[in-house]
Amino acid sequence: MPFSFLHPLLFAIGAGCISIPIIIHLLKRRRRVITWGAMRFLEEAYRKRRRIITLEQLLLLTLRCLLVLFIALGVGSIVFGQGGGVRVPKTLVIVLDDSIGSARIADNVQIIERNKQHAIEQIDELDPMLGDRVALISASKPARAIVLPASDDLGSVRALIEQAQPTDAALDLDGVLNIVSQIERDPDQDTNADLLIATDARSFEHAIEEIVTESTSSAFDSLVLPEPESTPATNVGIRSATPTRKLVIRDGISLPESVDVQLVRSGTLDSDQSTRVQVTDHQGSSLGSGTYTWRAGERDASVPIALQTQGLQIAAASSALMRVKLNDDANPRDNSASIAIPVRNSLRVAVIDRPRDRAIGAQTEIAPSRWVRAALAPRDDLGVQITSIDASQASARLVPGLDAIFVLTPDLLYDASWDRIGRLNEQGVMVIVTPASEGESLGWFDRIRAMHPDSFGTLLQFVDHDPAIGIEPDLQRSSILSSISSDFESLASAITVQRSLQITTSERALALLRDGSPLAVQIPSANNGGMFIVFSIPFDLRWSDLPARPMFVAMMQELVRQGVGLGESRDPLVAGTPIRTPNWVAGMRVIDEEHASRPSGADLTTNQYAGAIAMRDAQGTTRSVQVVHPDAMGALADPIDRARIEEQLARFIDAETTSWIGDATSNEPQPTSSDGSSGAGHRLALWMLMIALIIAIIEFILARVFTSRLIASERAMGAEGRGVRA
Amino acid sequence: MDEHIPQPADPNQIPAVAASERFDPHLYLHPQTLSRLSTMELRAKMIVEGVMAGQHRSPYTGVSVEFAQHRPYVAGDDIRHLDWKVYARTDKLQVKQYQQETTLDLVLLVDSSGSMRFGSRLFSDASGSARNIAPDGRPNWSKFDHATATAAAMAYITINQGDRVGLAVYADELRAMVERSARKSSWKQIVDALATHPIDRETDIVRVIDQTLAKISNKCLIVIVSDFFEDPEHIRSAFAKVKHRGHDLIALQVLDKAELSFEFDDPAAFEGLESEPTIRIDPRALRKAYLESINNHIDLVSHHARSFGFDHKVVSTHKWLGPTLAKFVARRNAASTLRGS
Repeated sequence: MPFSFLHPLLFAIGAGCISIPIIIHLLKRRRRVITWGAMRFLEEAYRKRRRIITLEQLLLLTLRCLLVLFIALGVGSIVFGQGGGVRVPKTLVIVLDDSIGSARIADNVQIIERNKQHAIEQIDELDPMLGDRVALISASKPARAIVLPASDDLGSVRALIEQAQPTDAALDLDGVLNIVSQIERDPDQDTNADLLIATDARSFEHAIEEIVTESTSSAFDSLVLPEPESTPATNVGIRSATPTRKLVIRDGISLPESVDVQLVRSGTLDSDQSTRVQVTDHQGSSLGSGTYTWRAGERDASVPIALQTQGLQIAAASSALMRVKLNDDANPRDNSASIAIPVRNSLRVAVIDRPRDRAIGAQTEIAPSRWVRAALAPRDDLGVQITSIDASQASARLVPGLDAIFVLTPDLLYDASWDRIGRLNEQGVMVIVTPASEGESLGWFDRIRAMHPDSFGTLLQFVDHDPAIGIEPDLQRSSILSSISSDFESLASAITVQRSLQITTSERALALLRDGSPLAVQIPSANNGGMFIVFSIPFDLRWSDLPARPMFVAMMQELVRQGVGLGESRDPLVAGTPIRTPNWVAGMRVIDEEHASRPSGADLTTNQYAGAIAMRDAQGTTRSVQVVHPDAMGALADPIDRARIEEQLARFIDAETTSWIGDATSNEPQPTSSDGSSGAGHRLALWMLMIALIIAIIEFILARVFTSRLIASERAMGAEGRGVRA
Repeated sequence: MDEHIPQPADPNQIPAVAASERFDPHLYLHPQTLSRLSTMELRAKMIVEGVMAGQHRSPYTGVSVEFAQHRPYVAGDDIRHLDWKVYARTDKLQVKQYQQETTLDLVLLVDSSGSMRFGSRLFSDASGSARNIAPDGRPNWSKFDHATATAAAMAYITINQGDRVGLAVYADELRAMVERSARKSSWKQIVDALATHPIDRETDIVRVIDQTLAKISNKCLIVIVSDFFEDPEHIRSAFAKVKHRGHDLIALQVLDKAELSFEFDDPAAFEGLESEPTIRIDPRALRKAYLESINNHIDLVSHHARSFGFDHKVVSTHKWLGPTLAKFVARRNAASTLRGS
């Protein structure tokens, strides 16, 4: 029957030890020569006893050899039926799931501890002396090859696994497959290659949806997976936490603030479950809270939490930090998320316009800048400081410290002024440009195209609307005017537009005219720059009655506040998404740690951990805060069965067999495999050691019997004077 | 037991020995031995015929100075020996018997076969001459050494008593022989004959006895000093020939302590001294059977000796010659008196 060994080196050593009793036997035979006179009697005694002695010696020698052999078989863990007597070298590729899903606690054990144990147990069955190697891949996004190519330093790989801790990023099967597909097997070497994916697989569905690679992994002899864990669990995580307003102005009027918290639920979706959501400042003081009660089978929920932002303290980079927290559940890692929101005492807005109003006939035309001032700062206590700048002096008067610049006469700006505006926009200042009321020239638009070359089409013309057209009542959810979306329809209904600049653009429209052309184009900030908005109408009653409508006040207020806030703050990232740092960033540091598991010296750009990261420029000034949320989709706790896992993985991984190790429902899983080789090996080893014990007992008894016979005969001889007659 | 056994030197490589050393009786006779024995009388069991009057009783009753006993007259007795005084008093015919003083003829037969080369005792321990090795370079005190010492002691005492001593050294045949003589100078000849070494031959005691008996005519006391490692039937046959010729015999069986105890623990190869094949054994496993075998042999030799009226004594090489011989001579004298009366 073919057989192999789980620990062939130990068997080889043990088998070698079989020669020890034989060598001792032979050495005893050759030890010394005695010249003897009374050979006649010795030969006579030898003739009488030779057969018995030989039998006794052979019996004891055989028993001793068998004893050593069975110990060797036991220690070497013989396994029958594995197709050969000599095991070929094995390369084990371990994919360790250290994603946020591995932070889930089941039966008081963190999933990553089980994953690590499975990996270590597989390593312990390897033998570097036989050419076994092990590679290690961290599966949390972005997946990384920790040890690749495979190493024979099993101890070091074991230590790396033991040190692993869960990240806040999701399982990155796509990245894992990319790495695994690059592993090449040497066709000249007869080796086994096994792929162990040490995971609980509960977030597999989401991870597989994220797979974009089309390459299939290298062929493996065996795919090894832990038995799917079946413990019921319910987990609620924060998918996102978005403040309604992007900016807090402390000296201005108190506008209502809230946070929209998107929750995702997985696992057991009962109806009587409720989740408490609490928002605190970075020092832990409560700013607001709410409780959401789930309906049966409900997975997603949006929970608005009203905030009291009075007295909100700045944490870093003129931004306040808030934290959204959920009550504890199976996975604590996705129960909190940070929010950074810029805080200003007041807004400084520059308006570039003609110097004064002009009289047109009997009426005095109100300059656009006055409409802007009236909308933004009708009173001095609203927290908005307006500075009027003559277009001809714009280059000199545009200074750092501004939050927004209204360019209402673009046709009058010199190139230097445009350059200045461009630089300030790159530094985070919001810029709003309208066509000039009087001009028919569109030469100024070339400067805008130069600043945003990919945003605008070539078609650009003034269009007279006769009859006048209105504004589309629907706002896109992502518009910076979304905070007034509930009133937008009624406010917009009264507005008419007689003339507009028809702009073709690839960017998002702030709002649309009835003919489908944008009322304004919203160009998002890039690299922490300021927002750039281009209106298709000037704020002039000859073009539209918008400036005289209530909509204008709300629009300007929200435009400036939200626009400035968006320029100041950075969109939250999900853990695992790389941080794109602007050119001015000279350093980053963590200012708000969600969890204490971030390893010291961890690469911040890899960004596998949730929290808030401050970005400093070359002068050491913290200019921006990047918030990183845990990836709640990576922490889904939906049970999954073997068949589903095999079906999913078979699409990407080419393996001859699939083995399952351990019983994950146990607190301390024991290594077993679906083909039973390891478990059978250990059971056989136990039997071998039992047989060895029995042989040892028999050998001991027989040796005692033989020896006691000698001792008895010696005593008998002693009683006769030890044979001396003299 | 200390298993260190001084091994006999190769006979072919025995170094030359100075003549002065070869004749030194102290190499063979420990001073203690000689001092004890010189005060004792060696009395032979039997009365030997001799021309020299001595302290030994004649085996023949007849005219002599010392009355021995009366016995009833039977037809054919010489009427000259009738005791007429007894007849006058008791009216019974009694014949007078006398014991005659005779000299003792002692013939020493010393075995020099290969097995006699064995000895586990250190020479320095056995010899009284404060030597560490034998003159031929051996470190051990062999059975042959002990046998020659025993023979020399008996010869020395016998000569000092005025009796005649002859010597034969033998193996498969007689190798050397010294004619019987009572002269003091014969001591040198005996020692010279004893200063040989065993040869790698087996003993043929029947042949040796035949050769010995052919050279002696009168009644002698024959002392065989040997390990008697021979077929017991051959020994019995040799004893029978001696008895048939009317000689007396003392069998001194010289054995080494190691041969008598066989106290070896570790497996070893045992190599014979008389061309026997080497055998590798575990001594512990064979000890019982070996001791049974050698003790049976000793018992058999003893039985054969006593069955012919001879004496047998086991002499251990690890014991002083003096006590052994003194005890033997005392026993011998007692037995001799009983027989002579």
